[in-house]
Amino acid sequence: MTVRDSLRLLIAPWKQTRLEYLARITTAGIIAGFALAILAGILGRYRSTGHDIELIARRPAVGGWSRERIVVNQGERVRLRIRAEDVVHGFAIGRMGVDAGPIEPGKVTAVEFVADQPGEFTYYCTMWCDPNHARMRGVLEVRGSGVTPSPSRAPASDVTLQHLDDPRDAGIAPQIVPSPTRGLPLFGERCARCHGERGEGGARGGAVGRREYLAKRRPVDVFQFLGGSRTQRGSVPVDRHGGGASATRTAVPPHATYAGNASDQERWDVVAALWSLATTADRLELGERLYAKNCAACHGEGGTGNGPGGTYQPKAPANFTDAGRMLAGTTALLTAKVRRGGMGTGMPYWGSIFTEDELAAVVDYLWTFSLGTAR
Amino acid sequence: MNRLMTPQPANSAPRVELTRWPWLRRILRQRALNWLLMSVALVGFVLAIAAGILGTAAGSANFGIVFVWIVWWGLLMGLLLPLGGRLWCLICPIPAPGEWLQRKALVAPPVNGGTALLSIGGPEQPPGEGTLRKGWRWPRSLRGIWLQNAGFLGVALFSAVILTRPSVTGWVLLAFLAAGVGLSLLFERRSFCRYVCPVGGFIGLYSLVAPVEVRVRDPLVCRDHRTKDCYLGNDAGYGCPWLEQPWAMDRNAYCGLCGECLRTCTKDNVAVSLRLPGPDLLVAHGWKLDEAYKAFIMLACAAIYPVVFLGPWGWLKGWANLDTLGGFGIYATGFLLANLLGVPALHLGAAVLTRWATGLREVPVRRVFVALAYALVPLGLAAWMAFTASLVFANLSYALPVLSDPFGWGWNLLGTRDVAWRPWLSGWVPSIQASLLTLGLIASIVAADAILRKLHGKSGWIRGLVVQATLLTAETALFLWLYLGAAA
Repeated sequence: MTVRDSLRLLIAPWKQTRLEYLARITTAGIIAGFALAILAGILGRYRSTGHDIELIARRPAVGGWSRERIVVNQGERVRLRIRAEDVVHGFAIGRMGVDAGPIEPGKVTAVEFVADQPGEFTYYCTMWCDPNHARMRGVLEVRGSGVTPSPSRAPASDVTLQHLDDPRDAGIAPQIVPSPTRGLPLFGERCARCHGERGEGGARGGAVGRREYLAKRRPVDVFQFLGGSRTQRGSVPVDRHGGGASATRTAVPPHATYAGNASDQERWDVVAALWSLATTADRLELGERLYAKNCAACHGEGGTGNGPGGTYQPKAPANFTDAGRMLAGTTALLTAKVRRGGMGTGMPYWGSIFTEDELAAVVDYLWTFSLGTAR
Repeated sequence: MNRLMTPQPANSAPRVELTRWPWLRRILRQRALNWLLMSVALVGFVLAIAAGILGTAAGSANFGIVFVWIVWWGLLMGLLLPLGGRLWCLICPIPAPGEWLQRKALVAPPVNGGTALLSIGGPEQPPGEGTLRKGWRWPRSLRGIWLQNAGFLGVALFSAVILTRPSVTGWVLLAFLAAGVGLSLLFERRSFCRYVCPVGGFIGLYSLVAPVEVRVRDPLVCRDHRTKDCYLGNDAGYGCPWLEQPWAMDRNAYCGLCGECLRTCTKDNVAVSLRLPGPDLLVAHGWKLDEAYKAFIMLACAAIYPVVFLGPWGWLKGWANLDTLGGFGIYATGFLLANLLGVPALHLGAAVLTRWATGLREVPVRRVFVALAYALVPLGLAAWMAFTASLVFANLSYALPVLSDPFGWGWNLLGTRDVAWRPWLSGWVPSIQASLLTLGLIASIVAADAILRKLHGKSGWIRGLVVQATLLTAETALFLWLYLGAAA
């Protein structure tokens, strides 16, 4: 055995011991560091403001949103990281203008916004994902001081709940879908002298082209009024289910005189013209967008009530091209139905999601299925 | 002296001894090697448990799901197992804490110079006072891999739940770790790995066809070496943790590639070699019913998994996913029947037919049945690799965002959090799967041929091979349809 071998033999145990302690220190360090990192992560996750919030979208049948309520502070910058676990979902926050678009499985969709208004806001899925898609909602609570905007609630004079889903039938209906394009020249020729070019009202006639005027009036009543067959004197009656107010009678000449020898179809075209005067192209465009995103799944793209989601609802979705039913309704009634939904029909509640402008836009767009559009 | 005590004659098959290279031999003999590999894996393993339990419920964004069921599984089935056999067992973190506690050391060799056993096959030396370790021998009635078969079936049955819910994955991994530690404190050496670990069972079976082996160089050297350091341990290392007797080892099934025998052999008679895959399938004394059942279970699961995970049958996925108890009950019944009765019965029928066709009347049906089950090993491995190809290439890109944000809490540690998912090599996957399955079929037919020759020992085996080849071809056709037709 050489001196070198002897030395090697001598230091071998020490080397082994040194290695063992080195390994122990390293292992202990890894364990401690790991525990600290996780602890810091957990603390950081729950104590931070302006944090990233993770939200997982699953079909309502398997749980819906992973969080039913998200609480943030007013003024906080919120970054939502949304993942879909199963099918394509969508994400939007009502009355906040936040829309993340489609949430595709396998991707993280981030949406960032400042929660500048206190209150409770509904977030919801915007892609038909499941028979119970409409139930896929959650609440974003923004805590803070200041005026809290309330959800879009029905005014006191609005349609009473029990009449929302009453069967309606106009009794008469146009042969073909009325056309504001045909009706507007007729209106200009025969009505504008008293009511103004855009129905804004004049010295001799009321503002019949204004949305407020038409809100509680049924198209079928306007049609009949124009023909003079029902009311020889006074104005178009207000629908009693549209708020309970009685019809205002004023002493004006019978409108049959002005309708002259107009055909039924021409009178329907004038009705359509009035409803088109009561809205704007921008509002119709917004309504079309909102309808496509939120309503078409059940009511169908063409408003015929045959959307794929409709088959799962307790009652068949309304067919907006059914003139007999639609022309016996009012803007106020449609607005109330969209706002409140429910009533055993499967129709979701949109009052917490749509602003008043959005509600008006959707309802105006609904009219275009039975009264046509001038666009 | 029984067979196990007798040094086995060296296999004359061609091989390349890797440990001839001094640098590799030096690395493999390092005591710190196992600790280093297991520590790194343990960090990942504990992170997977923590992420599973504490992290996001979205599996695709959770380290626990992505790194266990996609990255680890892909590495295991795509590289480690087919190329290295039980190489994963060298790295596996599950037994690490238990083994460290058992030895009361992370790296250091035994303090008593390796007298862990009083005698080979005898009772373990009682542990010293004040130690947690009991050192019991594993009960004889529970030996073999039946427990591993049951464990694997349990995990496989609930795999649709385990693989998609991070918290379930986290708790299952934690249970594995707890079982590894608990059993290490009660039983000798790596009893958990050898008899309990659900993953170890199939790794052992498929390592029979791995091109890597640890064997003694010259059995005669071992015959004359009475101290058996490789089993008992010495100043350089511990006796075989896997309870193998290296001088008698002629199969890979229970060699964990830990390298302890390389360190303890005072005669420098242990070698790590590359070889042609497959000779272990023909080691007749290794043909056991428990391993045969493992082959059937693996084959059945390889057919059921693509149906459930990749197929277009959503209702079946719903059943497996525990959407309804009734549905899951039907699925579980079908799953267990297919694994425990269907596939074994099919192969029993084929074995009876093969025995009749070859005139093997002197060989019991059970022996033919068990022996021919080993011909399924290459095809089974190929089918699992094909399934893994579908799973891994489609989902591997999830690994990058998960590395930056393992818990799904919005972290961006490496700046890769927002890397978008995209499938990799999707155009190549069908070709890869078809090639793997074809290779598996050829290898299985070659194995069946060799097994029949071994059983028969004379002419006439060809008729039996036709029976086996027909069955194997039909099974391969089923796999091809499942991967390239139904699931494509």
